[in-house]
Amino acid sequence: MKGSTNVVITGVGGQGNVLAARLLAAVALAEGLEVTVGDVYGLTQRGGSVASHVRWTEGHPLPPLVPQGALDILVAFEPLEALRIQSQFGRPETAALVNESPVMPIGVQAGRFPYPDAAALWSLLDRMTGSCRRVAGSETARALGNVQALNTVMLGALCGSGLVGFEAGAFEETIRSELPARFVDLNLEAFKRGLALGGAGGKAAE
Amino acid sequence: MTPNPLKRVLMLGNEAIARGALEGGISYATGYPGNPSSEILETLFKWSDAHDVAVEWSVNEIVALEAAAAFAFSGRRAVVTMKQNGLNVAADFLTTVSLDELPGGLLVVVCDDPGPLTSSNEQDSRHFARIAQIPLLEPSTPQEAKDMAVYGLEISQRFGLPCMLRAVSRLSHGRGPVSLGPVASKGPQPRFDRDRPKVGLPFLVTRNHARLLRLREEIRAEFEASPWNGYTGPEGVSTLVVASGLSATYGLEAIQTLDLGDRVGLLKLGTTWPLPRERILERVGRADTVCFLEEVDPFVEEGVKVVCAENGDRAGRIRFLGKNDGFVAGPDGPGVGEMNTDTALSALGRLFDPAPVQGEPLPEDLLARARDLLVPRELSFCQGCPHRASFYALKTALELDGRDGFLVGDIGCYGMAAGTTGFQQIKALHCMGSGMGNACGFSRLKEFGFDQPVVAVAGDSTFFHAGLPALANAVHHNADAVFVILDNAVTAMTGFQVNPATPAAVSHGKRELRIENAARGLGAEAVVLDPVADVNAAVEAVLQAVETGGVHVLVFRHGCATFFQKRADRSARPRVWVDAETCLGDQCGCNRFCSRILSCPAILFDPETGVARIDEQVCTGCGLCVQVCPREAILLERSEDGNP
Repeated sequence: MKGSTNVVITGVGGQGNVLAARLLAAVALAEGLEVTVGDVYGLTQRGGSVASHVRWTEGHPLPPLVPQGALDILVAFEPLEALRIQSQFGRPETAALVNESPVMPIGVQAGRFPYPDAAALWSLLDRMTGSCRRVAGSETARALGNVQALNTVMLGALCGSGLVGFEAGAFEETIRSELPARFVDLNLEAFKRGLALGGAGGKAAE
Repeated sequence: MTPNPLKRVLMLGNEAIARGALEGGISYATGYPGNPSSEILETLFKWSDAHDVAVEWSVNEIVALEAAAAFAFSGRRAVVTMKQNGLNVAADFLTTVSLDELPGGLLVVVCDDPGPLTSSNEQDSRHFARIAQIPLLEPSTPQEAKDMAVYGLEISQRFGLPCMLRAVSRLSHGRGPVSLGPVASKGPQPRFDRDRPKVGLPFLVTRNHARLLRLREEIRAEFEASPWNGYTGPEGVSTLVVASGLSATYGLEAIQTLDLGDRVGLLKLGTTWPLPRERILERVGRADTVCFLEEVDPFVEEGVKVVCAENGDRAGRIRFLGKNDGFVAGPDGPGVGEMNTDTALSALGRLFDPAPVQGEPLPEDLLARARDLLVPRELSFCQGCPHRASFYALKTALELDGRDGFLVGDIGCYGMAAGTTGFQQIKALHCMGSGMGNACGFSRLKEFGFDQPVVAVAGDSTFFHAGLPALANAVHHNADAVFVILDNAVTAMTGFQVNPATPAAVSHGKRELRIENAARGLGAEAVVLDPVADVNAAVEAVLQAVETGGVHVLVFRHGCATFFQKRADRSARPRVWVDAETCLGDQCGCNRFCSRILSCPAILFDPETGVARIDEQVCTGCGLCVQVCPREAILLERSEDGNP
């Protein structure tokens, strides 16, 4: 829809997409925008695909889900899930930020089917998006000593990419106000490292 | 929290409903967990002490509603929450309590699950508001959800009958900005007026029913002027969209996306029973095409058609487009699945020729390539989940028995045993406790030559919710029935809520009830086993139960791995590893039993080494794989503190 921004943050249950979406939405709200979040999960404790739709506009409140073919920005914590969401909601101009580390589905682990070939997967993501930036998100979170920091690393990458047009300070303020005190420093550091991974001024969505 | 009306906070739809109930002055909140409704009570639990609200997870929905009604009988306000399946359980009481005159307020919140994301049906609960003849509110945003909860409690008390608030998954689990209001006072000391009994005796019913229908018309008159109903669009257009609840936001987005703002108007309805007749005629009477957006059934569509048929001179000739004629349809057909912007776009787009232009879609060849690459992320029992051991034991016992036995079950994590993760063992699954009731009939079927063994499975919370009547029925009728109660101590599927089987240490002092004691009290044989600790003993017990007559209750007791591991000391976990020398990999003949058959998230087959490997970061140390590896290649070492 004209004048609205549609973001999907996707991953696998437990990776923290819901919190990332909540923080992004809080930043948009603080900017005075009419923001809506739709968390899409079935039985997330059990290894399923999850996605949070974050949408904002200056007009009427938007419904919680991004319509098909209307995705502006895709933030994926897992490459296979990036492809899943882009196939469903994407358009040729979608800008994607994708964490490089795959999470194996249980069926792959059990040997019932293979995980897609990495080269084929990335090449398809490149062709299906306006821009697709590979982010060493898990690696960065691991280096910080906490894989759970992946979500704020990716949020930093989103901010650093310039795709959403919100200042880093607004995210940092939100991290301080929304997270329990004992997690603030870790997440601020994760966000800061993520900023650098986003590639400032990365190719924006049309 | 001190409300500041200028500050808006982001809230989940369900949190907003909870906040509305609090602002509406409730003294009591009850419910039974079930997606997508569970977060309402979870939120109220957090506020219960600060705001002096009694909150409880009741054993089932009808008890929750009956308990909440006692507050409304006594001049206080209460809210009861449930998912759509739960309303069926509560319906017996709902359709009689609506005949009472309530001095307090009673808000019945039902969260429907269209398309279902986590349910065994996609029932449209709005029909129950009509059956019970109670006011029905359908919010379109979290802000409205909060405000309608306040209003629903207020009209409930003012008119003296229950009010129903109906949410859908996307609203319950959607987040949006909400302005908070003040919390109302709870009212005077509660007191039941013995001169005004709440009695549904037959000779009183017609009188009370007539009163209820008079109230319906008074409420309709109030809804005519309600701010929850409103028109958006230019005057003098011939095409009108009528949309209720969240579907109004889908309609508005579709109109704006297609740039139809000057050609189409939208009548949003937030009060959908009784329908605001005049408000509808005022808008519908000016249109020649009316298109309906709602989920799931054509509830408003048919209501508006009745209004128009009864007022033909004012409504005029109208082309109705909705579910009954098939014009408004998602990918699975009209009246099936969720409403969304895409379905609204498709319907409105077809109304205009040439169709309004949208952006270029992704090329079909790339989408086809993506379909080739996309592998599913199937649901699985968690690592260490006791259900994996239980269903492995059940499968093994029924195979050893060799008479084409099968399981019947119901709703819970263990319902996933109808799929790969539970070895596709459950062959009938419907509603809470349904397998146990089915088992009573399968027992009688033996009188007609039926000779397959049947085992009914149910969870601990389900046993108390709906299993007790079926068990009493089985014992009373001298059935041959085997009930396996999968007692993992919490209501895991819906977010680990406490239930009567939960240890007092976890439920903060609520009294723990033992399933085996209840079963023995009803005259059934009951034994307790831990299939995780000794899977072979569980196999033996099932085999013996299916081969002997009578009613057997086997309680498989082992705490939910995900819930209890979070609370346990990680260092106390047993260490499990594969002895790479002993594991023969694909040379073994076991067909990768541990990684492929057990399919535990902690077990990998390592293609580089050609043997199995345990992911120690993930493994809970339950030891099931240790017991079943035919080569005894998986080893376990307990920490000094023992198994958590």
